[in-house]
Amino acid sequence: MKLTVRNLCKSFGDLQVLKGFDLEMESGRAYCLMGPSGSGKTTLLRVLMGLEKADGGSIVWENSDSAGAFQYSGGALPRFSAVFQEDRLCEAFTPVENVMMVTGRLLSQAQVRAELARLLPAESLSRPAATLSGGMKRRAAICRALLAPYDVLLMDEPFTGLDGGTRQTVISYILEKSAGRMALISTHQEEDVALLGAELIRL
Amino acid sequence: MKRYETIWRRPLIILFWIFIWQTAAWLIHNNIILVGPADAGLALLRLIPSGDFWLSIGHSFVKISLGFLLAFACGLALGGAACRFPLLREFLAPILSLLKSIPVASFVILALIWVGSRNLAVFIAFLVVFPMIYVNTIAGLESTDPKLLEMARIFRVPPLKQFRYIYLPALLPYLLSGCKVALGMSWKSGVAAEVIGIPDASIGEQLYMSKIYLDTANLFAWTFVIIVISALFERVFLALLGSLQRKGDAAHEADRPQSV
Repeated sequence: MKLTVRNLCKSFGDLQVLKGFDLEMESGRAYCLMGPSGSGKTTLLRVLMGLEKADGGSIVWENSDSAGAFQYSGGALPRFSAVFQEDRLCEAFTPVENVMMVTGRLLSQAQVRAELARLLPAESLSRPAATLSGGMKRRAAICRALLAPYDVLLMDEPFTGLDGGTRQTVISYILEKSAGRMALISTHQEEDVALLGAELIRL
Repeated sequence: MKRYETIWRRPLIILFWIFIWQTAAWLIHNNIILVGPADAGLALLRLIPSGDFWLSIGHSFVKISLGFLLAFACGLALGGAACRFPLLREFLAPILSLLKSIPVASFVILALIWVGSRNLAVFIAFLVVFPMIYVNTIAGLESTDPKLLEMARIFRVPPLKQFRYIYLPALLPYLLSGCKVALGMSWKSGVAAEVIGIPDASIGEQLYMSKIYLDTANLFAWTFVIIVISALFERVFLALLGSLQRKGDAAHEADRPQSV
């Protein structure tokens, strides 16, 4: 899978957020998106997912065929998975249920539980998300994004509210689970880029 | 010690008012104007063994709860459809304002002409409950978090799961508070309709008899029965509905709408 973005423009009213932005990404790599607050990181991710319409420019997704050559996907969007700016969990349901909502029959409840237990304390897995701390919710949202079926992973500042130790755990979990696919992760911290072994994209 | 006090406070307050009521009945000393709790209780005890008593309760209960359940189902279905198709909502809007503003008494007369007295309570309970459920269904569905819907779209969550995880938790608090009001209203208006229409073997007929014979003790006994049955029905129905709600929702108790 390959993404080519050319001359992307997006403004909200008088505020121009993206101006002639170019980007190229390929599957099997992680990319980090950095830029000051308000530089359009969230907007870029939302435009890529098709949640916002760009004012101008082109976004081209190409699927790789068996020989490894890229073919234009004909305008069809790839399957996305995302960590949004907010956690967007179903608050009345447990982390296990939140993950199973997006994985369907792909994983058994025991498997989901085992995966979540790698990021969250076991006692938190059977509690409604509403009762979890901010950091726990963030990790549940990250886990949901990584266990869902996807071609392209987009994460909007996934590490907010995570302390040093958990950040390390989460980063290695992301690397393990997103291996071979395309991942674009926005962050505020330079060291995340190194830890993820990611290519840096500045906005 | 403090818990002990709060447990006994309510029954004592109720006892106090019953005492006042009994004293007032003694002072007035006229069983047509005011019956004391003792006489009302005796009247109730006399009613309980009779077959007519249970038959009337059975008939009215079936009719009123049928009307309520039909209205609940229709309100839910049409409210959901109206959310989906705004044009339908606009079409129904004048009907809804009409239903809400027409006095129940006018409906009763109309119903007597249309459906006769047999199914009067079904019709009236339906007309009173339907707008409440309809309005609350729409309000509940509209309170759904668009951010969660966006999330469901990205993760391609199938519609049935979207309903269970996203729509239902948003809808239930509204539906519960709507039903709380609607349940009481269905009994009050259903029985009122029966008093006017006097269907055979109904609670309304019994109340009407009390009026004819100026039997205030009977009136009080029946009123007590209506309160008890409607409270029981309310408890059971709300418990069933509430069991759909997840424990996690308790965390949002504070921002739940009180009543609509």
